[in-house]
Amino acid sequence: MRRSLVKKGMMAGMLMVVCVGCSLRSDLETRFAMKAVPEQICRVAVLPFENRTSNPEAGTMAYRIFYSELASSGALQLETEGEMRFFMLRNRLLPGQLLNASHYADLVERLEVDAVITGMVSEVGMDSRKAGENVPFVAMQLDMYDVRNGRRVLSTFHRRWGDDYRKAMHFGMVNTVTGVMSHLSREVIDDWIEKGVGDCR
Amino acid sequence: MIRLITSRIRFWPLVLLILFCGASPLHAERVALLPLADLSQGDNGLNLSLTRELAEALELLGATLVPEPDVLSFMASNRLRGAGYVDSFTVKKMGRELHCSLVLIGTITELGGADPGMGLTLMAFDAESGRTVWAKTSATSLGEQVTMLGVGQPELVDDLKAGMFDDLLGSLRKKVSGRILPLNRLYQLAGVQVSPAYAKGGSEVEGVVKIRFIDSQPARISIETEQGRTYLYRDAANDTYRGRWNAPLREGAHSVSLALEWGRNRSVERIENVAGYEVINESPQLSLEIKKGIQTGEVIAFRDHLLILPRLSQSKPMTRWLLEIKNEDGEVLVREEHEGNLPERMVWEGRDGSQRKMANGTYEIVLHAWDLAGNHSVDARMVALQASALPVTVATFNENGKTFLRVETADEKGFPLSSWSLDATSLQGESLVTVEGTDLPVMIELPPLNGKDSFFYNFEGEDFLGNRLRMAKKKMEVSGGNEKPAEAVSAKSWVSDF
Repeated sequence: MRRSLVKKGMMAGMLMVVCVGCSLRSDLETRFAMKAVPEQICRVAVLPFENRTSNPEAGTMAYRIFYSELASSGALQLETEGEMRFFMLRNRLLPGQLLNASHYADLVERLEVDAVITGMVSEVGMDSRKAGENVPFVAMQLDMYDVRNGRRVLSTFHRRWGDDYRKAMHFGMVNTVTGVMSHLSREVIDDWIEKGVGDCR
Repeated sequence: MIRLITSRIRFWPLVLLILFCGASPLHAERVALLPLADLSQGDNGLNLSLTRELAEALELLGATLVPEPDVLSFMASNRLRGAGYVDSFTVKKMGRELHCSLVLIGTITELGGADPGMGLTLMAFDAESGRTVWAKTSATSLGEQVTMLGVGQPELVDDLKAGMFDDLLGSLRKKVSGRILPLNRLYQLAGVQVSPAYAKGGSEVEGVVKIRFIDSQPARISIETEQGRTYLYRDAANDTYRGRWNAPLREGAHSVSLALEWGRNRSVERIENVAGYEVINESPQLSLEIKKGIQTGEVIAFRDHLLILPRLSQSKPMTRWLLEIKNEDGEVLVREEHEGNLPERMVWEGRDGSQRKMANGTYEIVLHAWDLAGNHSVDARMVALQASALPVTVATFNENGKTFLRVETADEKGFPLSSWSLDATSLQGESLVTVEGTDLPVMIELPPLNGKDSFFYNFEGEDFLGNRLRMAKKKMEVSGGNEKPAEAVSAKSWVSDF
């Protein structure tokens, strides 16, 4: 009798863990500016991402993955990475550097974009403390600025671990940093779309 | 009648049939695939081997790629130092200079690691507008590819590539035009027949193609040869495609390829060496060799049978042959016509088509042969049949009080005796004369017969073919006047009549 109760308790506990794991919201947080009108943004440029991690390629990696996910979503027209590198070079800018009015003017005049997206990779790595597995994790900050007035449109911070996507046992777990970045980027973009970005008028 | 001894040469089939199934893509507008950036090798890393594998995967999907050297040359001349990114101006320039409609770039974001994995992001740009038309990221690791009971589970990072390419390119195909990545064209080539399989240079050759398609059909189907392209017309009754062309003059084997022209822009898909045929211009160069006979001057003499051996300068398959034996008047007494290769040897026993023994005389053996291309060759030999020795006449005559015996060949046509012997005895059995010789006619002086007016004689002779003549104990009356044939001996039989 007692053994049966213990068994039932264990089962219920496991079920709760699984349910809680599945229903846990990620750290996705998007804040829109009070006066932001995302519907007026059709064409955007994505600036090279700032990399604040110890992985020297994390910035480029996150940039390309985010760019591909944004292009794949079809929500916005995108300026090419090559153009943005020329822009950075032309204005002697480094990733993460704040843009001033002349930069925004350059973006409007030369590239005819409505907004610019900046990104910062704050965390990238493999967490080996989690359940004895190597679990990739990524944290990114993404901001969008309306280049026509220089105002911030939105700001998103998101962090993900590979095991956030675990469904049961090992199934569904994402074991690559690329995979986590891809999922994370898609979640951010979906959130933006949900909140009006890409509904271009 | 001729007895044929046929060879065991196998006859090559006239029809070449090829059976296979194929799924073949349409080749259309070109795609420029830039070298993949490889972040696992640093910010400026390139991965050409994976680029080539991706190129192969694209080609399997039917994409026509700008050759790698052209892409690298473009990058060098335009000072494109970095891979994995491109600007829209360069994309448009690439489209113009490399004649492509799509530019594909990619970055390997991850390769290897603690749980060996791979990440790849690809982007496609429209070469006309310079805009991004498609992008996708795919990543996986060996740890993510756990299968039930480990069946088919990848063990190396290389094993992950195929699935990743499928995932990425499958998505690309859905997004870009069918002219860039067309749907597979499915067909089954049931057979290609070229006839004749052997042809004279310049003669007409026909090709028949049996091919079935799923979904769409090509705009045109043609056969490509050295002579050029021959478009085939549809033979609805036989569910085939047919076309004719002239064989080239050059001798030798010629292969045939099939070209399927798909779509509005007539992009050509070739199926190489689906069939072949051979051009033969030279006649078979037939010669006749006769054995079992004896060459005498320009004819070959025989008394029993001849061995006729057809000889070809080159061993070639024949389509038919004809043997004729004619008499001196040109009348055909024997005619044998057969399809296929020449027999190795034929035996002629001196009989006509009805198996009747033919008379002694001179005959012409004529052999015709036609090869598979229809080239004709003929050769002839004169032969003389002498199945029995020529008859001789033996007669007596008196001259100056002496009695002579005159022996001579009764028939001028044919081969005379080459050796003979004659002995004469009186009616009482006394030997009168014994003579041997090689030449006829001959006059033999008899001893005085002492008023007796008859005697016996024996005559034996043989010609050079071995036909023998024998006249035994023949009674000869001594004539009083000039020569007079005593007896005409038939030489039709082996032994003279009694």
